[in-house]
Amino acid sequence: MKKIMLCCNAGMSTSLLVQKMQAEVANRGLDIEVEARPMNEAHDHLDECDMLLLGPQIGYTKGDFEKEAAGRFPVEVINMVDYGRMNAAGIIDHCVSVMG
Amino acid sequence: MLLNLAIFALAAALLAVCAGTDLCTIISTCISNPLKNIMNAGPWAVILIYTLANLLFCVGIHQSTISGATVEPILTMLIVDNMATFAAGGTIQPDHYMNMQIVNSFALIGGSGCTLMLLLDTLLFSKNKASETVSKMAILPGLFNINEPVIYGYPIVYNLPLMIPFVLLPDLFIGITYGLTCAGIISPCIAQVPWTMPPVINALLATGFDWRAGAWQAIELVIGMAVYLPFMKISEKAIAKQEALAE
Repeated sequence: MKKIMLCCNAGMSTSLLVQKMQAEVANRGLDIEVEARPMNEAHDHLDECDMLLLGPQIGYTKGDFEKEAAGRFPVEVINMVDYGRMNAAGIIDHCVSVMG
Repeated sequence: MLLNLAIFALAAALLAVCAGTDLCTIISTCISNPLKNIMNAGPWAVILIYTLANLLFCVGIHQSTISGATVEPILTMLIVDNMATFAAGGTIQPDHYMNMQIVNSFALIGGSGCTLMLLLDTLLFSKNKASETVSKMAILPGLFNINEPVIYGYPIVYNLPLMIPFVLLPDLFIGITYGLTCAGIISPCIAQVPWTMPPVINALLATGFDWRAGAWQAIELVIGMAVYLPFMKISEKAIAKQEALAE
């Protein structure tokens, strides 16, 4: 079971995306869990995830998260248009190709 | 870590013994109070910060990163003071008219840049299918002042025609609302309402059920829709041209 963690400022806009992504994952029958956390909580839960996706509005924190990840898992900023249009399918495709 | 604690403990002890004061009071007198006075010399300091913050939002950096670090702590202190004054039955002084609630209730309708008006304009007047789809998806969070889907999906980011009302409207509303408060037309804000509260209810709760504040928010919605409409049309023409070129 792979775990994707989504991160944004307050956890609200990513929670919209998470629901869509979870529906997409269920549709495709993939063994992935998707979770959303606000930026401040994310630091405490980094051990649990296999991939970290950052909302574009906190893209500037990518460097910090990458340092904390220390190579254990990929850290990426979600593409702006995919994020705004809630393109769960596109994002899942990308995650699958990165995580393997 | 221990060194930090030791240094601060020493400083606190020295301050207490020699000056009869402590670090919190010093920070309050030397930093917070002057900042509070700047905030209250008129709406300009707040308008400046929010202009910068919203401009940066137009290139994708969340506005609360800028305003949250600079003005929001002071503004929040001011509204908390107001809550205490109101609870004790006092009247709010003019030096407390500018506070976090004016921004949260009257300048963030639908989220930063008052995007709820853009959504309403799109649903009512737009001919662009992609914009309509995004707006339908974003209207429900938009009612609760969450607007990242609109900002990144419409998109407002890097979209010059829409950047103009996005930055102008909050400034306009902060200024006018502050002016109305000073003129006594609407009551000063006396309660801290969560920023996710929908418009109209928001203003009523914040000002202690002053119907004029609710009416002003409704008028703001109309003004906002009127301001966004021409810019939305320009943006649509540009998007249509881009799509035509892409074919």
